Amino acid sequence: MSRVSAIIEGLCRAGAFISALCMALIVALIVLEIFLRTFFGFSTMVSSEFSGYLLVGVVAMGLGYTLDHEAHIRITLIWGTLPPKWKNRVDITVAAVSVAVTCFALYHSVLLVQQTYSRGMTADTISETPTWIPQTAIPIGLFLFLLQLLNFILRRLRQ
Amino acid sequence: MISSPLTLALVLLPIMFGFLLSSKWIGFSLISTGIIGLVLYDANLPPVLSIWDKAGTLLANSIWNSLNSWALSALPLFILMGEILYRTAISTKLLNGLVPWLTRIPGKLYHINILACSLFAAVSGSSAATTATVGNITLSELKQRGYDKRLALGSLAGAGTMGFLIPPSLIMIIYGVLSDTSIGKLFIGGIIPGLMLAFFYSAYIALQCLLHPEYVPVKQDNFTWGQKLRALKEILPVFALIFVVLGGIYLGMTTPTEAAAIGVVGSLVLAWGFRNLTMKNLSEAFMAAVRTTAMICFIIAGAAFLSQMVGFIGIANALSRYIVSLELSPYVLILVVGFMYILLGMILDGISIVVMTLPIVLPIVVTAGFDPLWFGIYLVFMVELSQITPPVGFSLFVINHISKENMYTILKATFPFFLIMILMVVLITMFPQIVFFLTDRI
Repeated sequence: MSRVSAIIEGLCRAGAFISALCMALIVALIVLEIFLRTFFGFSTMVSSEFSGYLLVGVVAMGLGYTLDHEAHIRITLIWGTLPPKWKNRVDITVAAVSVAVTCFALYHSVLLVQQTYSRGMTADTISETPTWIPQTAIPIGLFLFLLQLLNFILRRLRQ
Repeated sequence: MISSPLTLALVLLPIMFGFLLSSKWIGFSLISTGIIGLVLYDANLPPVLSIWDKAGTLLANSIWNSLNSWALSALPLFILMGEILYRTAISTKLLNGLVPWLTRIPGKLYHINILACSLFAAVSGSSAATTATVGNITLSELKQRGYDKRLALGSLAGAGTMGFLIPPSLIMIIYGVLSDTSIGKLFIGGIIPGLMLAFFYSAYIALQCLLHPEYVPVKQDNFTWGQKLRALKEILPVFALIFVVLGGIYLGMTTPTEAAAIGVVGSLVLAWGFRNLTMKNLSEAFMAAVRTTAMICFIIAGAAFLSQMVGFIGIANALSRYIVSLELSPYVLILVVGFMYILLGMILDGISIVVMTLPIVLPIVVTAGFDPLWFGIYLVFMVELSQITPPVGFSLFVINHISKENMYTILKATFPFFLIMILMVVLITMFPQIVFFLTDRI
């Protein structure tokens, strides 16, 4: 079982790496844009559009990793006063409900990508980027999130 | 099945707080509430479309639309900038640069928290980051020199929250995106209230020290003008960074997102100059920024879905109409809203408060005649208050963590600064010109 956990955590770290990469790309893209605009009076025309796409990537790919580091906020006001055994039970219940929500969101985000793909939807910009490409980050990210939630439950079941 | 939006709102409110208090992650709590709201609503849908499909489509679209945003991409960049700076020697430099200038003012080094926080707030978008970065170094320094811990803790708690008020500010970015208000204008509108708040804090410290001379250690260090000017050299890089990041926005040359990217590069240069730019620091800074960004944006996406639900059902509309029918005076309304935020601030963090309440509260206050720009600054104050109200106040947690003092001592020390902040809220409500003074001139 601990091998399953290790694999999930590895996948989520890989996700976080992509997420960090997207963040670095936003910086690079904007700096390039400012540089070209200031010195050559020329614009890439895509820096604001692609920054938005990359932000989707930053968030989606980072969701699972963030959960692994217990960095998603929750209100532990009542939870904190519970005995350890009950903390575990509440955690498992809460995570199980979240798994259901994530499955629901995952299913519908796959549908969304499928729809934008089959309808051939493109961005309303000069680049005419097919919308499904940046949108694909959402189901991938939610899938990693789902795995990490299951791992969260697994770890507590083992205790 | 409920068809009246107001009844449904009354049913949903306890459900949402139930989820929140159950220790379920805030983003999931908001999404769950949104789904339940749609399912309970007596919607007139064509028979081929189930309400579950409608909810799913709204959810997937909310996630995509709320995150695919140029303005919001300023958020991870300012977070990254703060994380890079946190890993540099910047707080030591601030201390060394400011200390020689404070020996003649009543209250002496107590003002270090106020000044260092104001300066750091001008390069950081978050209150927690400001409190942690400054407090890490000033608290032990003040203790070592024999200063009373109460004023030291209180001034750190109060001044640390200015991270959200003095631009750049994560809260202002989020508010600007959600309310469609210019983030650049919000940034500019925050300057005078921020400086006034810092001034009031310092005045309070000076007053306390004049009344109680025993708070200040007798030992007098004297600095010559030469030493003072040399010390200034230490904070010069920070001033340069403030100028580069905020200057462009004020002169209208860069958008906040562009300023944020410049800020990331600037903070890298600074880290390189201070010899703190190692591979380890850099990767830690990126990973921490990923976590904070994902955490905040998950809540934003959840709230975006919730607000779609609120709009679809017509809760915001119905509530707005109901409040208008009460014919409250605008001041009473803003007072009630303020109390509500302080109550919410006791159990929720600032960002959650803003994203959760905005779809409902903003239309109401705008109908009552308040300017969205002004309300943004008001809301930032509410968020700042929430940072220092128990039992859940992030600044309190941070200070508790770095000072190892017990919560009760910290709370008692913070209370006067809490009151000063309330005073500031009253002032900007009575005299909105404080906010508009600079924004009207660009």
